[in-house]
Formats: sequence, C-alpha cells, structure tokens
Amino acid sequence: MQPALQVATLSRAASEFSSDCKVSRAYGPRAPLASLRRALKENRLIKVLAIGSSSTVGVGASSPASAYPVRLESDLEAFIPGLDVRVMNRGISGETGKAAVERLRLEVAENKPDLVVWQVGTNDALARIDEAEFTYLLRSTLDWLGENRIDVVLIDPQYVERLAQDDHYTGIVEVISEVAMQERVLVVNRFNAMADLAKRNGNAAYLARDEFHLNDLGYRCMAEYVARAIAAGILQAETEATAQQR
Amino acid sequence: MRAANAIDFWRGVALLMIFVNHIPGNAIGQLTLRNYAVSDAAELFVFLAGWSLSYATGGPFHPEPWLRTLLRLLSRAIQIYRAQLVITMLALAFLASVALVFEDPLFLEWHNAASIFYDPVRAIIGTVLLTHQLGYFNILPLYVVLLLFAPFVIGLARWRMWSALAVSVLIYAFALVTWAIPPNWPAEERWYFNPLSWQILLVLGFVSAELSRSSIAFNQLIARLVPLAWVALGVGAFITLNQIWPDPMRVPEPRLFFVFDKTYLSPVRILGMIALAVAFHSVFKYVERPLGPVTSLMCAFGRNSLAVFCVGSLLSLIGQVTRAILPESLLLDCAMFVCGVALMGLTAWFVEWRSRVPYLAASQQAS
Repeated sequence: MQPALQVATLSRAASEFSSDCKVSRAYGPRAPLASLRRALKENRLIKVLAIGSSSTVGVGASSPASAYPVRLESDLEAFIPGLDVRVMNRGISGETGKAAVERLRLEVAENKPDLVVWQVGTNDALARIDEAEFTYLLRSTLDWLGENRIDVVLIDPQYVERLAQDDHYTGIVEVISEVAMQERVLVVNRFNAMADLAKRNGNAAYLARDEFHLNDLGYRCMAEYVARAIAAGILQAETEATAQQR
Repeated sequence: MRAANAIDFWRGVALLMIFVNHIPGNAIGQLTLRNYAVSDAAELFVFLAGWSLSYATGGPFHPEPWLRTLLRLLSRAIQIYRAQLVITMLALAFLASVALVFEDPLFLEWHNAASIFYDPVRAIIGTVLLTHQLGYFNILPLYVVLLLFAPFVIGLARWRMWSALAVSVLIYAFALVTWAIPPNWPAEERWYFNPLSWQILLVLGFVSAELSRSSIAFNQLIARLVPLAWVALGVGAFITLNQIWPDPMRVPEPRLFFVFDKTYLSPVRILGMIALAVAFHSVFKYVERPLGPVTSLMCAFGRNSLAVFCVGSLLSLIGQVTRAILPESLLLDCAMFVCGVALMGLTAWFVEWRSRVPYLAASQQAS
C-alpha cells in the first residue's frame, strides 16, 4: 500500500514564502517532477545533483553550512515531512557549452540522481555564446534528461545591475525561460527574484559586506526558491497523475 | 637558439590553439583542432612535452645519469610551479580590477576566482597546494605533477622500455576504473586534468621519441601506418563535426573507457592523439619553407613555451573579459587574435633577447 501524498502540505510548501524572500514569481512554469513524486511515494532516499558555478559551491556564505545545496537539503526535509534527501554538490567551474554539458551527462550517468538542479547560463551569457547554439545545447540536454526520466529544475543567471540592460545577458535569461516553457521544466527565476529583492531592500540586504556577493540571506532565498519549486513540481505531478486515473 | 624543428613548431601551434580555445565563443575558435578531431591542443602539448624529455635528458644512446635527470626535472617543476603562482596572482588582480571598474561582482566569480575573494583563508592554501585552480589555468598544475613523476618513468624506460609503458598503462587503467582523481579544495571539485590519466600521454611521447631515435623498425612501422592514421583522423573529424558522442547512460561499465571524457582522457582521445602524431610526423619538412615567417614564429613560441604559455593564458583571460564587456563582432575577435599573436611573439623575442644579453656583454668586454 503506497502512502498517499499530503497534498495540503505540498501546497503549503510550494507557496508560503518566508517574509524575507517573498517575491512575486520565484519560479515557473507549471511542470511535473514525476520521478520525485514516485520516489516520495516509494519512501526512498532522493538523490539530488546540484550542478553549477560558484553560487552552487556557496562562496560568500558565512560558513559551508550556509551554502545553498546544504540549505536546500534541510529546507526540503523541513518543508516536506517524510522526505529523505541527499544533495550532491558538483560545481562545474566557468566552462561554457559543450564541455560542461558533457561533464553534466557523465555525472548524471554515474550518480543516477532523481533530480538535477542545474544553475545554467551565466558563463554562456558572459562569453556571448551564440543564442541559437545555447538554445540547442539546453534543449538537447533537457531532452536527454527527460529520456532518462531524470527530473530537472533550472536556475537562471543571477541579477547584476550592470547587465540588467545588456541584451545578450537578458536574452540568455529569456531563452532559458522559453525553452523551459516548451519543455515543461521548472525554472527558478533567480534573475527576476534578485532584481525584486534589490528593488525592495537595496543591495545591502542580500549581498555580502563587499556589496558584491550573495550573503547568507541571498543563499537562503535561493535555496528556499528551489525547495518551493520542487514542492510545486511534485504537487503538479500528483495532480496530473490523479487526473489521468479518473 | 635552436634551429627551426618539428617539435618546436608543433608545440608553438598547440600554444596558439590553446590561446584561441581559452577565449570561448570567439570566431577564430572555429578553426582549432578540437572542432575537427577527438583530441585537442592540450593532448598535443602534453605528448610533445614527453617527446622533448627524451632530448632534454640525453636520448637513448647517451642518457644522462639518472640523478641528474631527477634534479633537472625537479628544477623544471619548481620553475613551472612558480609560473603558475605568478599567473594566478596576475589573473586575480586583473579580475579584481575589472570588478571594481565596472562595479560588477560577476567578475569576482570568474572561473573559480570567487573562493579567493570570499574564502581567502582556505583558498590561499588551496592555491599554494595547487588544489585551487582558476578555470583555464589548470594545465601548469598538471605539468608540475607530470614532471615530478617523469624521472621515475624515464628511469624505468631506460632500463626496460616495456616496464615504463606497463606502469603507465596500469595507473591509467586504475584511474579510469576507480575514478581516482586528485580533489580540489576548498571548492568541492576535482582537477580538470587528471594527472593519473594524463601521464600516459607524456610517457607515450617520451617512448615514441626514444624509439624513433633508436629503432629503424619503429620508424618503418610509423611510415607504414600513415595512411591508416589519416583514415582514423577522417573518422575522428566526422564524429566531431557531427557531434556523435556516445551516450554515457548507454555505454557499459567501466564507463570512462567508452565516453569521450577530457578530464580522465578517455582512450578515444589517446587514439586521436596517436593518429595525429603518426599522420603529421613528417609534415613539418614540407611546410617549413612555404610557411616562412609563420614557421619562425611558431618555432619561437615552441622554444619559449613556458613564457609564451603564461602570457597567452593572461591574454586569453583579457580576451574573455573584453568579449563580455564589448559588443560582439568578428572584427573584435580578429583584432584580439592579431594582438594576442603579436604579444606572444614579443614575449618569445624578449626571452631570447634577455638570454643573449650576458653573452653579448661578455663578448663586448673581451673585444
């Protein structure tokens, strides 16, 4: 007998933001995390592979425990009772394009995670990698993960004042959101969320003392957005599964 | 100053390609080896480093005493270690300046630099231990480790050639089966170039050089393999151009043997490098004269490879940042390429000029 998912708990986990991190649209679009739902129903350990650059590694946080993957683990277990999660942290430094994706695929093949949280785009945006090339790379990698029934949550590039008007930089942010919409994949809108937080609080609130880097609050919010996006994804998978049964 | 020769020439070509490849997205990057072959300039560089070790240590007929080889390579390793620290410092200072001028924190995160700026207590230790490497500044740490390992392989090879190859293959296979690799610290990463795998290219380079200088049969074999090597390169080009990579989910265990991984140097990349070496082993003598000044320039790069590599690495970083700041254009990419080549050429000239100065001064006194 499979335990029923607690829809009410998931729904609360997906939407009740802490007051410090509350923004209008932290994640989207509606997309199911089917493998996670299955893992949760089977009551087994969930393996999450966190892939990205220095904000995945947790630079700027006051201690390693404040970095986002560590927080993500504790957030998820706090928001969704009964969930047992292990977050594996794999930074892929600075590389762009094909090489980074090749390594992502190898890491995924080796670790067989249920979910990949992929912080993507910043380096490609900065290196001004052709948008079409980036789109193809993103789409083909998402397709490959889909074929292998591995759930994905994307995290888009971070907000930086200098680049807020840069067409190529915001272009990459848009590409990620468009591809995610077409492929039905969740994206944490880090760019918009950080911009919102900056408008509301001024830079000091979420950046470290050097006014440059994410501080603990910044990481806390990032982890919270990812955790809530995951809850929403499991909920969506549950809704779709129930709809199919009827 | 050495006369123009094939090793310096190809080493120079590898250095030029590394400079271009390290500015991702730039138009000239479409022309480099990695777009047309399963292996790229890094493999070429390490293979040639192994090859030149045969010359640096006396060759198969008059090998220098082993202790001298040990001290020679130790001193070379120290020199390269020093160079790595210097270029890392310069790169960090450059990134910090750009971050300040443009008030843009992203530059502080550029290719792993972030740990240095936000976690200096650990990252400084990591830098000195070579376990904190900036992205694209990871070839010299590999080279340091390889040079410390080389005296032992050279000793073995000069005792019994097969024993050096056997040890090298065993270490390589061990790395690929167990995923053994030096960790990075403080960042939870791994070395970009796994020395346990990459040592095999150095050994192959060294052994090939020793054999080509001592065995007629080996040279005949290589000459006979040339057509096959070109076929292999053709297949490699087809695979690379069409991006037919094996799916890591579908290959059997041990997976690293069947994918095209660069960090662990999957076998296909070694085969690609061997094919390249065989196919091109006698090309230099045909291109030397027609290429004229290009030959001289590439050989100058190759003769002064450490200095040219260091300057090239910093220029690549400047190129990356320039591409991030200025609007994209073909003209910009071409201009960066021309400036880069000119500055690398100037570096080679400067190093050779400097090494001539004491001699000139002495001869002036004598006359």
